[in-house]
Amino acid sequence: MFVEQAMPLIDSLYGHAMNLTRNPSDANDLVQETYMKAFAAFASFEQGTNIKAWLHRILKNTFINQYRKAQNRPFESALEELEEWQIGDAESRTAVGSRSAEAEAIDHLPASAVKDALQSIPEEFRMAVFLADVEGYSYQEIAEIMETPTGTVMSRLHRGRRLLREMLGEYAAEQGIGLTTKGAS
Amino acid sequence: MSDCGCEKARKALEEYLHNELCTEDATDIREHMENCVDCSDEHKVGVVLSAAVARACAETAPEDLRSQVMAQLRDIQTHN
Ligand SMILES: [Zn+2]
Repeated sequence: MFVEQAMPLIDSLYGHAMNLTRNPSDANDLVQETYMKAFAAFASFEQGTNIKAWLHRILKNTFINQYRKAQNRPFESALEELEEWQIGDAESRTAVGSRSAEAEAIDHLPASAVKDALQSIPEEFRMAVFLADVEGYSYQEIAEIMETPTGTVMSRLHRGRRLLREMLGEYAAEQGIGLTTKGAS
Repeated sequence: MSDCGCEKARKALEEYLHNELCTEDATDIREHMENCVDCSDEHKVGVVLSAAVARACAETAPEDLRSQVMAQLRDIQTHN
């Protein structure tokens, strides 16, 4: 019963663990602990509710309790205060130029550059972006996993994507990627 | 037909991208973008960004991990 429901989600959980720990060895440990904890708590899982969200929540909490404690950093940081829609919401002209040039540049970036950028943004934002854009979770599911209101999910997602976009635009401009549509002719 | 305008469209683009809008609102945004290059280009950047992140971060769990987890689960079950 547990195995049938939980094992197909191992790629998704491993991706989440990689996203949080940023290294394969810690990600391995985190996934194993998540499965053991989930198995032990499976009786309390309400059948018919979202098992994906439940497992991801266990993984997130395991990470906070064990890995983050070791780093001695509180999960909820001063970032919460910055999480207002107006911050970073202004239209920023990016380094790349027009929007179509920007889209083209982002499309041509190496995966390593995208990964580096994602790993450098604050954890709360990174998690929201990962769950929405990699795993395709709904805002409601992300809210369940992160245990925050949907509005917080939206602002984290928004700020995370904005930061990512700025960083990738700068990277592309530095590398001269995607400049073909600007000033050609 | 009344256009929802750039301001409303921009505010809703991210939710549109993530399929979080109701059908009616999504239709408004889609119709606006058909006539607005700025907003449709902005949407394109969002789509490409999502795709780039998905490409960069898709992971497959190592086979070893899969079998370790299975072995641990079997172990617990037999000791209970
Ligand atoms: Zn517009």
